[in-house]
Amino acid sequence: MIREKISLPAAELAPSPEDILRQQGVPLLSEVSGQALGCAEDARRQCLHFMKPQGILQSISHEDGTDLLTTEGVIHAEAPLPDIMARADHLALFAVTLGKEISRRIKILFTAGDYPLAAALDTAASLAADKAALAVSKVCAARIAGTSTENLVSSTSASEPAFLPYSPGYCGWEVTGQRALFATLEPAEIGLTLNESCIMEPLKSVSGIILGGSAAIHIFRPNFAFCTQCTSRECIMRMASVQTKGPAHD
Amino acid sequence: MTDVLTAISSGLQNGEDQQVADLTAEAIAASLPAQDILNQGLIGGMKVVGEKFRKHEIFLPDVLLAARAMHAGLNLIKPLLVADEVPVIGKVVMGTVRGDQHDIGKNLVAIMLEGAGYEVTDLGTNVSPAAFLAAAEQTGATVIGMSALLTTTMPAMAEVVEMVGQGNLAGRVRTLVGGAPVTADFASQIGADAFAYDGVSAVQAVTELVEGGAQ
Repeated sequence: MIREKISLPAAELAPSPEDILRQQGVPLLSEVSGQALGCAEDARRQCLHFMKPQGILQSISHEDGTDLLTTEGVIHAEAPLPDIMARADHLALFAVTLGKEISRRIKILFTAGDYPLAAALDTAASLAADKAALAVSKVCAARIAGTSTENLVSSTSASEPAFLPYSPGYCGWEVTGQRALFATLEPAEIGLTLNESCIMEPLKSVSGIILGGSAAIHIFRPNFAFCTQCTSRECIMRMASVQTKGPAHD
Repeated sequence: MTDVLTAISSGLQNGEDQQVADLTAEAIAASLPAQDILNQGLIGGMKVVGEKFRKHEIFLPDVLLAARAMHAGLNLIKPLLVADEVPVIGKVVMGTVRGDQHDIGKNLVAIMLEGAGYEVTDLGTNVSPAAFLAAAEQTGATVIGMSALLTTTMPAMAEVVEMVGQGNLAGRVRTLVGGAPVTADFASQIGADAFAYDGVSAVQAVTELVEGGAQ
């Protein structure tokens, strides 16, 4: 069993100003004011300065993975996760956090009335945390393959087995699923705790399960009842990232 | 409208906070009524910004730059508005509900409401239902705005709505809900008076609630 604390490279996680603006709702190729662009550039710099990213990874068995989903109401009846998990060859729990300082900085900026920078930094931190989760997936893949983890964050090439992280709060896995996940993973080692409402502290953190296997296991049609409540539709990009030509299964 | 008020409105639309502060100081020095500076210069500018945002002519970063400029001017005239006893157009109590620590969305809504001329009492995060009601009672607010970012904390919104409906604030205080997992259907299910999906729509919703008056 692997259990590993991972230091993540901040420089590779900080999003570009363009990505920050896009995440803030500015459409691709739209004109933005010089001030708005300057703000996004400053947000990237501050994100780089204030985040202290680290992660933890722990491989688990299929049985342990299934146990995570057994609490009543934790997984939606038609959620794709149990099926993906059953078809996966490798399972690992993970948690990543950017640390407390970046959230503190966002609060300070808001209090000082610098709303544009505060909001841009908040967006940058959210993007960086998501990127950190993907980076840990790549570390997991590298450990299993016995390959180097150098430049993993920036690498975009897809290969099999394909590894993707899944988190409570998305795709029919209720956020209450965090309780069982935290009980098993115990990420306090990286300073991460969970409150009664299942909110992680520090706030800019991501946790979940990494599933690795053939790219086809990650592909599903996002037309479940709970998809109508989803505003991110990030699953589509995630599925595209494993670049499989396999058929979608219902 | 005087040139300086037009310039304040224009500077605000361009997100020029220092320019708006300078022009506001100039307007004050010229003895222009604080209420005119507020309504014609600052709120006038924010209305244009809100309209452009609704039409997708500008996006969130530029709205926030304008909001920052709005506050640069507002901070200067606030003491004058108080001294002149200028009535606010409405009072709103805002907060993130019990158990929830997310505050960015709620902060943005509060900023936009202040930019539209509302007096906002921001209770922060992890606000209990009783604290929402007590603050509305104390401030005389007619709207309680609640934010939640997790499905686990959304039930606290229903508690507030129920307590408002059953207590002495019934008929005087209206409720507004919003946040990433919150939908118009959910708002309707729990009996909230309005739902907003962003800061600009929150201003519109609060305006409708305030103009609608007591039930």
